[in-house]
Amino acid sequence: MNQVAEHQVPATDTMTKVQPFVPLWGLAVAGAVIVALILTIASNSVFGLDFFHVFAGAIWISTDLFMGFIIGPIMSRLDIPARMVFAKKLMTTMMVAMPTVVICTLTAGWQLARVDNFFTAPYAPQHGWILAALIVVALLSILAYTFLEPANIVVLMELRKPEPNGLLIGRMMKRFLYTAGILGVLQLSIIVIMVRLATW
Amino acid sequence: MVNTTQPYAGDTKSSPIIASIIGTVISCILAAGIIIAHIPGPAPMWGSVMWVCIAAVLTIATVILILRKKPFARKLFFKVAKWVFLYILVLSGMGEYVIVFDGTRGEPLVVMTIILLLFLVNIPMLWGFSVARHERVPN
Repeated sequence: MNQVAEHQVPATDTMTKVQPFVPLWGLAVAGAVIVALILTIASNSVFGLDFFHVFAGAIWISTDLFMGFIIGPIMSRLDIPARMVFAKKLMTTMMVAMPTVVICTLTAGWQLARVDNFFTAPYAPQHGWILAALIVVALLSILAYTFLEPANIVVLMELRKPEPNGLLIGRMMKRFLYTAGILGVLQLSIIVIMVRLATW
Repeated sequence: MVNTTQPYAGDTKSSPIIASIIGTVISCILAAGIIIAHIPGPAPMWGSVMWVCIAAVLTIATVILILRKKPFARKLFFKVAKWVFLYILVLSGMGEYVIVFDGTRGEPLVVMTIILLLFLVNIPMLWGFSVARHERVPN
């Protein structure tokens, strides 16, 4: 019974307060960024596409590496209540930031490859590198959509309950951080591919 | 009857629903990959169509498995799935916009649109199920 009590962590006042699932100001910022991205694609601006792709890609890679190799080990050493408070703040922000960053990186990257004629010349020397990038992105997508984000949502939903299940949150956070670490390693290969393409 | 004497770490059993959705996602990526790998030339469409058909069959199987799952927190499932649907709608919409904007027409456009639609159905089901499966509901 004590074991149960240990994992049924009572919610703090800030946890039980009914709040929006994600920060509303964050949604407004994300919406503005998506509109800017649509306009950039419509104008085919090389600067704009490059900016979106590099900026969003840098945030995506840095976040994955940071989560997997720095935040992960720190969180695993925290006790469950502290981990839950930290996870709630972290996950709500990640829930808005990461999808926006992913949309910007992939969409701008695709369009940039078109504008830079990586797709127009058949059997161009860069074609293999572009394909390698697409394969890594496919692996990233499978891992992110099937393991990382579901774990993120489970943690968020659990933290909204009056008595969150610490054991489940701990299990899901572990999955989230391990997956983020694997994604970070895959992202390193993307850096190699992108540097090769940029310096062709 | 829910057992409350043991600490509950969520549903730890492997689920055919998750396996089916992962299979769908992989099939969709393979279908899109065949078309993308052949750009700017025409891709042999039979490969993509085959993977899309496999993804469609797996999607139907997933829907049937979810409908038959009992006990299951359906309310929570739909609560999560509808918001994820909105997010994937934006993501798929951006994808479709770029594909159409770049002048993709004909069969590749149809296949790519079906792939995006399959994503639109499967990802909300996956995320919704991932949350709802851990909810303890009475039999």
